[in-house]
Amino acid sequence: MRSALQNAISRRDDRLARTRRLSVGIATGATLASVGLAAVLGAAIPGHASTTRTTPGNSGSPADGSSGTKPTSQRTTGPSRTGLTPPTRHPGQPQPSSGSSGPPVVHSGGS
Amino acid sequence: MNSQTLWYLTRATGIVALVLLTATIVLGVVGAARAASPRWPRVVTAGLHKNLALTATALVAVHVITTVLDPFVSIGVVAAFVPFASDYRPIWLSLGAIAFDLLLAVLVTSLLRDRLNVRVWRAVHLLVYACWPIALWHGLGTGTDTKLGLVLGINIVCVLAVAAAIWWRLSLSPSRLLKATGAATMAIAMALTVVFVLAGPMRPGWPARAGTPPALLGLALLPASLG
Repeated sequence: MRSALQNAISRRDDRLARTRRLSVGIATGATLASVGLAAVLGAAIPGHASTTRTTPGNSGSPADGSSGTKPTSQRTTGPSRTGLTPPTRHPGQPQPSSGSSGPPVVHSGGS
Repeated sequence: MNSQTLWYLTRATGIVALVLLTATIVLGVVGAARAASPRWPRVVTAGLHKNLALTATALVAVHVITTVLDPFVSIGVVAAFVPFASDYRPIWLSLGAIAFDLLLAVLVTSLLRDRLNVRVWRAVHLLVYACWPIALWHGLGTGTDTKLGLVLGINIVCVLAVAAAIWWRLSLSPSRLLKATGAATMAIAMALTVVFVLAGPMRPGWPARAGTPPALLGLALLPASLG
């Protein structure tokens, strides 16, 4: 009888340990996935700080806030690729005036 | 940590949190159906369900913290909990706040389960079926990367996983009315989501229509025809 009880306790402990191992693995995987996905997003799409010159209204252009469908050759990614620095302007502050006659400078939509 | 890093972390943690929330719901459905096997006993399902929910909540917390810390958009702590407290894409950000509130309610009542009436706990716990689609729509509407194939693929897999789990759970129910109602609700919700994605985030000019402040879009410099 005692042996059966001990077996049951042992089985339960094994299952709980297995659950803990799986949970720790998933939590670690989720953390790594978050960092990895952040890196993938950083390489695939421009952040909100990137700026580019584009024709307004183009599908998938940074003006849409998402350039996932834009060809790589035309895509402007983060500062490391473009050399552009993130804007220090607060959203509430007025837009800096642009005297250039070229296409407008467009900020992507943010987070 | 600069603004760019925070932005990417916000997006990544939001997406991974949705995946974890999806897995939590699937495990919850499996557990509620009392499905088990010798190799996968119910205690493992229940334990994983609980731990996945905690991990998802932790990731959502990181998602909220990085959003609040990001100086590019002024989203305060209050906006993380209270709908319409920010002027940045107010509807879609509010969905995130509502989903977060629902998630916290489910989490707190689950942690206090021993002290609560079972019916109360169950009623609150069922809110997760509202929390998940709200979180999904928050991501689709707020995220600037919805068009990205990887993100779109993850969202589709999450939708299919939850739909399959609910469909399977409904199939076990003896009530034909419940089956029909559940299947119809699910089909309508999925159809609305597809229509929303195609007519909203996938179309040009979505940031402006979503409510991104003009100062962030640079709309003052764009032709009025945009969006």
